[in-house]
Amino acid sequence: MGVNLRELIPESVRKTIELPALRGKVIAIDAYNALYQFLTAIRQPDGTPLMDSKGRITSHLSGLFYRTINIMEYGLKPVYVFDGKPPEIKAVEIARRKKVKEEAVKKYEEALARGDLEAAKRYAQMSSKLTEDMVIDAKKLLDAMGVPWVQAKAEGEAQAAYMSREGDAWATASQDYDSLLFGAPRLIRNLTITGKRKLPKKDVYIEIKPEIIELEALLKALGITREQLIDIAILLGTDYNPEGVKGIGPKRAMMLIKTYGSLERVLKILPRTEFPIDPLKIKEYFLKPPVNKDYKIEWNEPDEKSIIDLLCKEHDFSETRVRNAIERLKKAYREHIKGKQLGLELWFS
Amino acid sequence: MFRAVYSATSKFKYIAQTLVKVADIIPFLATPEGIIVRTLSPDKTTMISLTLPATAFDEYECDGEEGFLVSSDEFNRVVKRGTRNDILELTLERELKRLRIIFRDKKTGVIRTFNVQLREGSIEKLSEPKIELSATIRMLASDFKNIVRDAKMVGDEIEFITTKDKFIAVTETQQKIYRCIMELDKPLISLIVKKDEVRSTYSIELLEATLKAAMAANTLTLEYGDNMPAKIEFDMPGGGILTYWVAPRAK
Repeated sequence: MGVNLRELIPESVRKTIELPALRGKVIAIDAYNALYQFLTAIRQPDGTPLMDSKGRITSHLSGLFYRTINIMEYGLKPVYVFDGKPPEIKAVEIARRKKVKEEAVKKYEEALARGDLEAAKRYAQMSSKLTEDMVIDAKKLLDAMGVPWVQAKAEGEAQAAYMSREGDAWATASQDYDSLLFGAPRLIRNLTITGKRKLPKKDVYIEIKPEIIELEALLKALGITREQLIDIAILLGTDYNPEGVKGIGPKRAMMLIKTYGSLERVLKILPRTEFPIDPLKIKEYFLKPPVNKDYKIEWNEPDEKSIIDLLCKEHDFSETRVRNAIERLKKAYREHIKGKQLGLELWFS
Repeated sequence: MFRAVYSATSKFKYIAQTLVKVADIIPFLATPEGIIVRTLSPDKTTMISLTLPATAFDEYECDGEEGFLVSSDEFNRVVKRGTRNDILELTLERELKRLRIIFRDKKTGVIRTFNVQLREGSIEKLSEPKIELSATIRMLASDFKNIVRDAKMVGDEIEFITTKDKFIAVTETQQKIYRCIMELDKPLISLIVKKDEVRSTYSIELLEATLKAAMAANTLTLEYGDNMPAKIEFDMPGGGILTYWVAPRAK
């Protein structure tokens, strides 16, 4: 879910980019976010996800496989970052999400019973659940593809932000804005959903392009510090206090933090505000999240047999389609990872 | 104001087809001296620089500096409609935010008019890389085209090796090998090399973008250095030059 900073980010800071412009860049992708995107988007008209002959969901594997190849063909070097154990301060949000999903399952069944396919699809998407087996298969698939992944200690976005700050990744990629709060210098949105997408409830397709938000530029445009950005996010609502503060929207949150300087001071003038946990603990978490410092990022030659075994033999993917995609993956590996294509920028003085 | 008439329409088609392979938007800069298009591909692996002097056109009018952007795809799709019997006329209609493209059939007199919308934005003034390249080879454009097409049958990348008297193009994969050896006058037009041996490797896919330009030109000049970009220069009909830069692949 993540914090919603959308309204706060000026258009001048939100820059649309083309995938080729990211050639050669290491991108730390929020794996859970990407897998949920695939689970939500890759479905049949009635909302049923892709499944193998044993009834196991495979939408996430399909998206992960084809989309990763697609971005690698543009020369991007993806590294997926998986969430670890959720922090205790996230318990309220986890409980809320569970309830939303349970309700969505009920509504999905009701919609299906009355033959409302559009509503059924919507509720089915809301009820998407990423299980441990799915995550294990996703990691197996990445290993077979030769694409690195990193296990975070807790939040994947915190880990991805750390890797970016350390210079091991050029940017983080997620639909959520949390990695900016965790200090990522650059966030790329729409990376895993780029292309033509249908608008919900409308028969209209729009072209989605990746967009990049630079933390430095954002803070400069807003005239605040990263700590103040975290303060604003806490007032608006984060994964650790999903409700935020009642009656406070982006404009007011910004005004309050700019006027009083910090969340600590704002809390003094909002004495009756209730938080599920101490808001200063949330702030502390964004500033000092637990991260895994012992990771290795290495791309390897795709292992064709392992990919075929997992996707085709285990999960009934079409072998012809998978083999064609493997050829594209091998070519991308040869061109952009093994034999590196240089850019002319090296020769512009 | 800008208006230009070009009678080698079929050649101009190849120019447009080359531009579309490099960039989504074509930044035209028209000056009283002629037209310049210089653009870098979004991934910065290739650059195209097209110079068509005013004298390359049958008619040319341009008062001052006129910069305008058009979609390369839209421009290419329209220009592709021209035939060898057509005379091509380009007119900038700035107030209507469009580039008018007219084909006049020399034989039948039929006039066909298309409008391509101008895109918003300004022209980034780029300069070409200023580097010294150690090998210069001049050959027929058709020979170069054959090298690229042959090599594509075998692999993804091609190594150019130039010695004092030979130019060698090699593509090698696990089971296949392609090697083409050319010498001065057999059939190279000229070969100048400043070192004993110059080697560099390029992506065949990126070199393929030049094949359309090769259709518009009789000869080309290939310049490159050890692990350095290649500069491929095509002489355009009437005195223009199309230069294609391609970055090497690191081994």
